[in-house]
Amino acid sequence: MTCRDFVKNIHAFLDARLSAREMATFDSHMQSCSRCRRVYHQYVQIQQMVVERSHLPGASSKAILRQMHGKDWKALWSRLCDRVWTWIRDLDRRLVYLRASTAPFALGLFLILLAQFAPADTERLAFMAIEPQLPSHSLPRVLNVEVRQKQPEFDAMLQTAWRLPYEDSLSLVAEVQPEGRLQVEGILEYPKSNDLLNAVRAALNTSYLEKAAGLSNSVLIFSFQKIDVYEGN
Amino acid sequence: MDGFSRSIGTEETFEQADSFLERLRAGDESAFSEVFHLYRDMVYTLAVKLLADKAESLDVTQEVFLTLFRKIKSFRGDCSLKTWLYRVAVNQAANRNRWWKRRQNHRVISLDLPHSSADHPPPSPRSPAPSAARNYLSGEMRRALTQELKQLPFDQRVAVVLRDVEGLTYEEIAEVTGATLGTVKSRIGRGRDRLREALVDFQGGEFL
Repeated sequence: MTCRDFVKNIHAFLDARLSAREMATFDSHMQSCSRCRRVYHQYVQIQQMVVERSHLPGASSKAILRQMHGKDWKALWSRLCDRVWTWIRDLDRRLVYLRASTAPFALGLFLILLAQFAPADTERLAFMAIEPQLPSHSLPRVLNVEVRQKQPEFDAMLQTAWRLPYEDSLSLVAEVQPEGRLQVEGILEYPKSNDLLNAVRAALNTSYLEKAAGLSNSVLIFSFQKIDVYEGN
Repeated sequence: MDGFSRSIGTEETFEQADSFLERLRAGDESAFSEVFHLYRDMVYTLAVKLLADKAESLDVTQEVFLTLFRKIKSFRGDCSLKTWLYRVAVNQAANRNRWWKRRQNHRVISLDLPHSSADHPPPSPRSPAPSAARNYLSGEMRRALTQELKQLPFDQRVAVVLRDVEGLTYEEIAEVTGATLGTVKSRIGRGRDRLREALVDFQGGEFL
């Protein structure tokens, strides 16, 4: 055995992980080589110095036992605070900075996504305008049209519809003229009552959509459905 | 206590250990106390060796036993309770060590170490010296080694401490740390070599 082999395998020798024959070879080499013997004693010296054991202080033992048995609420609270603090303390700052820097991008993306959904029509008049260029299966897009000058007609129309003593429904498409007037293009679903149809037709013909003025080739879909039946006056 | 210490981690009385685990799982206070008294110094020593800080080590010890208390129901028993406690202790110490390491911007050099000072050359252990001086030397050397142990990479520190302080086999260390046997061997070897280097430096000799 050479000194190089001795140093290379000394940890296996120290931990007795060699065969009996190899251990004997190590022993005999150590007897004959003072340098390797010194190396061996240095490792032994390290082990002796490192091996010193510690004892948990008695007061700490009692405190831990009290906590294990759930009898020390003050200590439990203190531990909870300590855990929170440790959690904050152990946060990786680079990760926090990374997340903080990506937050504006994430927020921007969220806002862009949010903008894809048009806001609901707050006037709840059920006037949905769609652009005819869009495919037929696409949902009607709410155009921010405001009924100003002829709104009483719409109100009257709805009140007329609502007074009907039976279930009824009506769907029609009206074209928005460039000057803001509405012209009935077609009836998608005829109502049972001509009164409703006439009221709606008249209301649309006399209405004026101020904000719709200037729109070209736009249509307005009017849809009314009354599903509750009651015996009115 | 004696019955328990016989039953844990030994194959011949494994059934007894199982019954003991049942007591733990059932929340038996006396069983927890037994485990605590049996392993408290083991866990504390491991933490002190790994962290070199008594306050942190106390916290780690407390955390280990409270983890035992909370998680014993999820302990499947595929390793001994002792191995499991070692594993929890090493993980807790690793968490604390990461925090310390992030905040340690510079290496702290103990003012007690005279080896770099030209005015105070290290006394040679081979020279005949009175016992007081020898004790002083031994204390200084121990401090130097402790300091060097603290500077070892955490994985190497764990391997060296589990082997040389706790006396675990390579296989047990592999089980505790989740590393392969080859990795464990390598970590122990490198760690000890660095410690010996520090010892040789301290003694003023030549590293062979």
